Amino acid sequence: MARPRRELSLLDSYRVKWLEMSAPSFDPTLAVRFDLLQGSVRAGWPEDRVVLVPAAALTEALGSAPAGAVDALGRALGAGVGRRAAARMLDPQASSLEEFATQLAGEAALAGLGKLAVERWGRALVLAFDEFALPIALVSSVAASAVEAALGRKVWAVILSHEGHAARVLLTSEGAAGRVRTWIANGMAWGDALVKLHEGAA
Amino acid sequence: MISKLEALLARVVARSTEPRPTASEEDTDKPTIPPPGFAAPLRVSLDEPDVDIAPAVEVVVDAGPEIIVGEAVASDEALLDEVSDSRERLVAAEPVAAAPAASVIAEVEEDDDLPDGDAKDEEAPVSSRRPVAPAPEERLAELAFGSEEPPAAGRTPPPKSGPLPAPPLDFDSDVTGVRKSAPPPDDAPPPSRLTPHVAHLQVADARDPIVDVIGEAQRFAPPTFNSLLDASLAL
Repeated sequence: MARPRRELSLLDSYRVKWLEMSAPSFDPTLAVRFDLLQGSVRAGWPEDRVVLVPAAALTEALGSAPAGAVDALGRALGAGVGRRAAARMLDPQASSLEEFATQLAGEAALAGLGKLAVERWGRALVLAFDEFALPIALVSSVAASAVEAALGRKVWAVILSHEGHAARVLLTSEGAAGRVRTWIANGMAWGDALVKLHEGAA
Repeated sequence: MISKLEALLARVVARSTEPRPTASEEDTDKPTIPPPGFAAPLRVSLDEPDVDIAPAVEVVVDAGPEIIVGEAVASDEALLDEVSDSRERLVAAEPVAAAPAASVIAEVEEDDDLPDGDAKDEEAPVSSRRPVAPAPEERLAELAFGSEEPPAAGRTPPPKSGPLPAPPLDFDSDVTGVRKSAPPPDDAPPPSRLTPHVAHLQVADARDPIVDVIGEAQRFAPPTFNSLLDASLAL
């Protein structure tokens, strides 16, 4: 039964709206506010002040930054996405795969990080990025921190493949991430690595 | 028209009252028309001016005095032409003897007594009458379906509208290479009945494998994203 749409508010804009369709949808209303009098841009709830930085400028800066700084930037970006996505869900722990993926991808798009999709390869959880705006080196830290911020759980990320601005990231345990990283470094295809990962688990 | 006829009649009556010439004077030269009581028909042809049936004509007005139309008629021929129309004309001819007239009538009676078969062959007049011969459609129908029905006597009704049966093909099979089809077998159903042809599914062997399943369907179906993350962390 369709629920009546509630009055829109800043808080409600970060909640899942159950309209006439049962399928989850992302509502970007008032997701980003520009305060021209104050000269500020705020996003999410609770509000985070953001700065519109050209992607090229960030890429150039990251190119000369140490690995720790790059990882820290990625985790900060991912954590903001995950936190805002969790704010849109009534219960992130109990959210379905579709609902979680919808809200997470919506927040990633609002941040300008590109298109995000959630894939399941057997028992393996994979986040697929496309049109990623920043260097691929940040994608693993962004993916891991987003899920950690949304669910409050520690995960490890491994880049399975990347081509241009597209990448696939496996979210798994620390041990499994190490094995897969080794297999891929030895030239194994990422598909075969996932199959082998499942064989070891069986 | 009527007024002219009345004037003609009055003139004829006036002439009839004039003193007649004696019989001795006229009988030697011209024969008289037989009296009305004579069996020979005296006919007036009004409808069909092209057919001269009777050699003599007598106009009978009433039971009055005998009218002998001889020279008088001939003298009034111009008046008759004036009075009559193009298709209505009184034909006056020289009176003939009774014997030839009787023979002519006998011939006409013989024509009336012709049998029906010959009567059908009578040629229709040029007027609007329909031809006596059967219509060509009926002939085609007889060729196509036979002539089981008795032929209609006399004139046939006008042909009905509708499709006409195709005439039988007339060709030389040796030249065209077309051969007659073989006659249907004796056990074949009559062509007038339609029998359904039912097509059933023909399966060579029901034990043949129809579906080939490669692998197994994924039994793992995490209800939540968190459960999927748990599974991925357990790898």
